[in-house]
Amino acid sequence: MLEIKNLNAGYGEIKVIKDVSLTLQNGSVSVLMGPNGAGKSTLLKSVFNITDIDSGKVFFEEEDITRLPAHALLEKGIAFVSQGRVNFSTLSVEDNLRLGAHHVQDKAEVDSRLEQVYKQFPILKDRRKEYAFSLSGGQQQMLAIGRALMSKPRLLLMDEPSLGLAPKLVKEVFKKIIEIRDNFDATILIVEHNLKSLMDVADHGYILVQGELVAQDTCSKLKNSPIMKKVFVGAFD
Amino acid sequence: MIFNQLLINGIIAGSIYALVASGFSLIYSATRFVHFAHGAIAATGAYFVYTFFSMFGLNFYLSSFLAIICTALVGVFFFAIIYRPLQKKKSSNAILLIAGLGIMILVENLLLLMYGADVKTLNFIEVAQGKEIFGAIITPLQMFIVLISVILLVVLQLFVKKTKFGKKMLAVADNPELADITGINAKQIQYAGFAIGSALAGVAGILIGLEQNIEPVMGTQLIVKGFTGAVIGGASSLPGSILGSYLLGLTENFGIWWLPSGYKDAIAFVLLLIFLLVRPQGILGINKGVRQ
Repeated sequence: MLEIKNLNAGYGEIKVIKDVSLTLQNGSVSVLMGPNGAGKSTLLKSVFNITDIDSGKVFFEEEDITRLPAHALLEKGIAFVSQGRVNFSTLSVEDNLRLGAHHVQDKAEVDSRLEQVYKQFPILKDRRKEYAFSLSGGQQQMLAIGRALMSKPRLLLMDEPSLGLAPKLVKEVFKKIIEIRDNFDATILIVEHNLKSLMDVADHGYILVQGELVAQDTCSKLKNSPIMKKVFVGAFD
Repeated sequence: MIFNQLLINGIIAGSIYALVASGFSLIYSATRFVHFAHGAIAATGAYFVYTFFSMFGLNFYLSSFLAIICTALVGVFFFAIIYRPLQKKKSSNAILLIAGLGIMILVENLLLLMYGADVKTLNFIEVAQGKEIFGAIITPLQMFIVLISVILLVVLQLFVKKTKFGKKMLAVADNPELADITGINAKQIQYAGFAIGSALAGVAGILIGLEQNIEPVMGTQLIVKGFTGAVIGGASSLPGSILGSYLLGLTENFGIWWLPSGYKDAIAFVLLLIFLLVRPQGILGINKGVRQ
């Protein structure tokens, strides 16, 4: 459903991604791994067209989406959850969620999506009138994910959803991600550092080193592979 | 009753400051930079209505309507040709501030060039005998000013808080990068912010034109007061800016109970400095706690 072909991207003069090609299967949870500075976030952002793409193409369901702006991607069914639990902090929880579907005109549809998100994250419903900044770290992450879900994405891109969360919460967020795949019928691509817990639940793994894709396989196979051990012990760092 | 008179004078002054401050605050929210030429834009509003009403002899309400539209366009024009290109070049806020001062000087001098330095008056509503309310005297014109201002401020507040477009505006104000990722067209919001904010400035310019004299440098005075009102109330909060403006109007007017009236501006500045030192986020500005 997502196909990246020979992508070269970065920020202005700085070239980060070098000739990366990969294909995501429909309905899978894939994890993008690699040492610090490998370009994991940059690759994710390139799919969402918020980096400078030098060459290569990104296809979503056979359609070229390489140069589409964010609002067009959203309408196509791609959503992006950025790093660091980012929300509209001075707006209420409910306003945050509704803004995730600001491009949807049908009010009943928005309400039904809101209920669906509240069902997935009941704590957000309890605190729907509160400012986003008053939520705890884990709740803020759920709000960020919930807002992305409001656009009913078929492809959900997540940049380090576990960043800065306590270990117990990390497990909970990962559990939620799997639930989202099943309940929302979404394909998910995650950049993660917290590999051990995620590898147990994800389907596919991709390893990026210095902007190049060095390995890709199912998580169960990757888990015990020599290259994975190298990632774990930091041999690439 | 001097107390009641000062109270009413304070409310009248506050009403006009609030129109300037709320427009300023709206633009600040949408763009995150200090649009210092906002007062000068308000001055063009006064000159537009002078042109249509006193020079062309059009109906006053039609003149005002046209003047408000023209003022909004002037605001949008400067955003499009000055601020937006600078933003695209990722210029710092200091540069945008200086650009704003530049626009202010440019507009004031253009007004000087086109209309001359002598003060203009509109003479639409004759200076009528004031009515006495609780021992204070207020003219029909002054009541009109307060009424128009309050109505507009309420409508603006409802627009921002209740409509989807208003919510998007708050979202862009809160976090422009996230708004971008969420697919909110920040450019459209910024243009709308400038159009609405400048239209409000136009209204303020017209109301002042009715009550006082019109002169090219009137905008400087207005932005100083509007800016002060916005900062003491909380520049990114619309209700805050409005509250701050009324507070400023009242403080200035009650201040002259004890001080000569020439100190009005000094009172404004002292209030501004106190707030910048003690409560820089303003009265209603949110002081976000950091929670990990």
